[in-house]
Amino acid sequence: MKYDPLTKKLYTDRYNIIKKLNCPYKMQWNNLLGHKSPNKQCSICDSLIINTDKIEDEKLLNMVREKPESCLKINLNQDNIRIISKGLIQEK
Amino acid sequence: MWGLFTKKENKRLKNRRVIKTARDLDSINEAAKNGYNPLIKEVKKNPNISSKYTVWQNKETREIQVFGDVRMSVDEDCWEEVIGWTYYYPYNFKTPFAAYLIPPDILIGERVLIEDLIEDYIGQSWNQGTNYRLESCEAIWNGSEFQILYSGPQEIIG
Repeated sequence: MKYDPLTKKLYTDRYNIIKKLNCPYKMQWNNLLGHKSPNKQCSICDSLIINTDKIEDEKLLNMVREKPESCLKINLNQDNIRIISKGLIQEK
Repeated sequence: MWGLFTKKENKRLKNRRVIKTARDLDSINEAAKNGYNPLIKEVKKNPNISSKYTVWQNKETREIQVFGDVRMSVDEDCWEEVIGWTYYYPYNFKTPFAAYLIPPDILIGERVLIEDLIEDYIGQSWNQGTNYRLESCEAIWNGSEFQILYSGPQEIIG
């Protein structure tokens, strides 16, 4: 997968967009309800939050296409993510 | 007991007040006219926040590629480095000042969500030596300032 920390867009390695990661409630992973699986559930909107660190990008893309309301969790340091900042400057 | 805690915490998260930020003169004054108390702050860069890039140019077509990750792969027979790894501050703000818009009925001790932080805290830390800024954070109003409840770099959710 590829992730741009400034646009917050997550892509497959072939640059198909998976999702823009922008939680409107600014939830934090540690505050979310636990699950037996690696995933968690949002305590505000009940969405499934998929832990992406062991998932192949095409499989993740299909999961999001099937359930667009799902959210994702990433860490910049997980092995299956490359960063694509490309010299951008974010305007605030 | 845990269920009771999570129910109470969920209610708090759902109902917490969101504090808006105004980032230019006109929007600050507009908010003041509408009854908010703008808490003015300088916009200061945290020197530990940066992104990085390198630019490579095709020897034949003269097109360029920009990379941000040292694990990139490039055919050095066709491409040459024209700018080596360079660190830069990856944000630009409208003005060097901004304001948190304090609602007139805010309570001392109230825990809120600041939607657009003015202060530069590290939100995400990457092991290739770059850090990105934290966009939002909870805070407690003490009557004159916000105590920002910063707890270090975080996972990204959305």
